Amino acid sequence: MQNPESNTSNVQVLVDLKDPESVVGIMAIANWSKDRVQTVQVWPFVREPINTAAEVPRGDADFEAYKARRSLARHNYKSQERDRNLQRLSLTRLWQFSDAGAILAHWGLLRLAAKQAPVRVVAEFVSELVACDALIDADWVQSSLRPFITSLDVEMRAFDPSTVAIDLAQQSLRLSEQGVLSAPSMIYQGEVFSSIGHLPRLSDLCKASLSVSPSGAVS
Amino acid sequence: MLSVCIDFKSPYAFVAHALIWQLEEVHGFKIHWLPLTLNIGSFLGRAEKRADGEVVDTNRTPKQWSVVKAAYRDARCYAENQGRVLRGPLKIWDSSLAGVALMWAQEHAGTRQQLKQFMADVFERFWQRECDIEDRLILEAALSRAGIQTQGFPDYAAGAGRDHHDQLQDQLLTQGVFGVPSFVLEDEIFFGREHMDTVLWRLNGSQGAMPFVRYPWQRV
Repeated sequence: MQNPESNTSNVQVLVDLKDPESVVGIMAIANWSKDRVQTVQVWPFVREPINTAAEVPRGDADFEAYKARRSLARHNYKSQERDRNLQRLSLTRLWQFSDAGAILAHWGLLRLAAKQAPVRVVAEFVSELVACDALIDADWVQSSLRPFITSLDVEMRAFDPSTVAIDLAQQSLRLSEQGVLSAPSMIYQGEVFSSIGHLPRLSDLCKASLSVSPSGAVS
Repeated sequence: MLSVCIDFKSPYAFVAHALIWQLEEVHGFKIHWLPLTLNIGSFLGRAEKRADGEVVDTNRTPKQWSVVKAAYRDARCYAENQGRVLRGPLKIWDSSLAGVALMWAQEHAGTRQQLKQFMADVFERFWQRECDIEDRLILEAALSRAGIQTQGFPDYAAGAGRDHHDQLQDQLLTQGVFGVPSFVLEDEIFFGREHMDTVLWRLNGSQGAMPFVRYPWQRV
């Protein structure tokens, strides 16, 4: 399995396709990349979101009650944010994957990254994927992928869901060890950016790196 | 009405406050500022450092530390780009008194500029480790520097102001506000400065496509 390289001048985007924020992130970076020379690659990052509050030692009853209320507030907020992200995608309902569908969809991202598909293509694939009104199963993923991977049927012969699931988990764990905390994130020149919201800063960094020639002289 | 919740001890609120003022000063939407005093120990564990940075007391897990360090790295980068100094605090401060002072300032400032100046003053000094926000006299001095009268503040801070602050914490949590900066527009909450474009889009009547999230990367 190929891995994102953290120290290239490419922009590596890490996403979880179950999460609307990640899908919005793909659309945002596809839009951003139109005016850039940087290559953008999209990779899967499939880990449970970090919940730091769950690791706080138990306290007295008031403390625990506060933690529970804050946790509820956070949960409710995430629902609001999910709805806003669906609105950004012009969708009215959240898509759902079958287990096999989720693994195959993330494998699809890996194949597209291996083929150095432009982020625009990834965005088209993912748009088609999440527009599904029913459960996103392996058949739907294949039909969404086929226009972008002409040799899909041949490549699928080597597809083993259980192996891919393990590989995805291991790759995501490695990325966590490199400092990736959540999806969507971006990596550029070894630096991790948590959230697609950092694109304005990334634009500046990309511009700055382009103005320095390979010899180090500023052009 | 647009309400914005802040806490002086939050690095994210520090890098956001001047930008948020633009919603009022540039776009004309008056902001009702509310203190949300974070209980950081309840979601990130607690930690105390010596002046040299060595941790002397903590119950944080490695995962919590990694989140805290990433947050500070991120906030420091944005602060520096704004020309601000962000020095990590050596302990988790109780910022409730500063929140009470914010409510006082909002009520007693003769002009919006005075309120803005008070907030900027406390933020800048606190993040340079030059302001003890648990000290009433220090906060009174900040109010005075901004030209805000302080007569009656000690009683307010110990009585009605404190009660109001505490009730507000309960009310905000019930409403669903759990972090700062948060923007409250009727029943809708936006957590984080990256939502400012969307807040503005809502304030302007939600015309066209909803903007993507974006951390403003600019000097203010």
